[in-house]
Amino acid sequence: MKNIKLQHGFMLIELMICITLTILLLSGMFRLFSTNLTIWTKEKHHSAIEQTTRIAIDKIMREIRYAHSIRLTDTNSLTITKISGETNTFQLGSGTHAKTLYMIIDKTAAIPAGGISANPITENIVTSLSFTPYPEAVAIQAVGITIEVTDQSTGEKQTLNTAGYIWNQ
Amino acid sequence: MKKVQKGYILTEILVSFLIMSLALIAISAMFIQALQMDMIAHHYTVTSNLAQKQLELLKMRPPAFWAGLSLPYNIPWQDDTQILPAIYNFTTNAIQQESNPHLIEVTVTATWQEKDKEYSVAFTTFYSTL
Repeated sequence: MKNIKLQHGFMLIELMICITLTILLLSGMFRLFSTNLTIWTKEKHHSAIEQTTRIAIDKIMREIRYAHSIRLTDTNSLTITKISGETNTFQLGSGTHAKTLYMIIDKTAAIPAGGISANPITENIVTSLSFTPYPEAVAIQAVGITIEVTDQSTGEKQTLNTAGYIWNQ
Repeated sequence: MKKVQKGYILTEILVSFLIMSLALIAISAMFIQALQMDMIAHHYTVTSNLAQKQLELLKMRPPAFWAGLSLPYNIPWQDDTQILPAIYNFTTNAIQQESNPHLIEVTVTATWQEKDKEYSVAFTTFYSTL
């Protein structure tokens, strides 16, 4: 029973001050954490759509540069014929894949002959794809490409525009 | 037999919180800086693609066009239908290549302002007059 006297506890007022201060500091810190998390998420989405547009443009540009001939079925579909007779068509998918950029490789007329395959190049986030013939549709010398990618969760849009000259035509 | 308990004093805890908060604020600043860098990178991507477009469209010009230019020459934007984003300023300059009289050196320069700082990207290529 002697030990009880030695024990010192906190006074109620001390505890209350301590708890109030802790709550204030923690709420500030949590706000910082949540802001950081928001920025991080935003950046992640941003770089994802940025990369998608860049990769899609690069892929199409490379095919245009090495094309033997080019055909624009309409402004949303570009068909490139290679020296081997193989054709590559760039267009958006349909139905649930309406926002995916596809490269349809058709090797039926190629030497050696092969089948047809549809290869998705991007995720399902491409909202617009259009090709522009230069100088005019009847005698294409260069193709303009415009790609718009939209992030589904943030609604952020990225648009890239460039053109490629067909060397071997 | 109980020993005298040694704990932390309130002040010590407060100081540690302060230090942690300062560190967190510094880390936040890094996040914001990364966001700005991201924006700058975006501008570089957009302008690079547009500069590429200009150079690619110029490839449609015949050698006679290049031979007939009075150098140095300021080439207008090749796509008449396109309205360029107002924040970017594009200039295309054609000059005589020094070592070869048949080559025209063309440089597309894009400049833009971001947070009172000027950024630019320049693409150069050569066109033959023959």
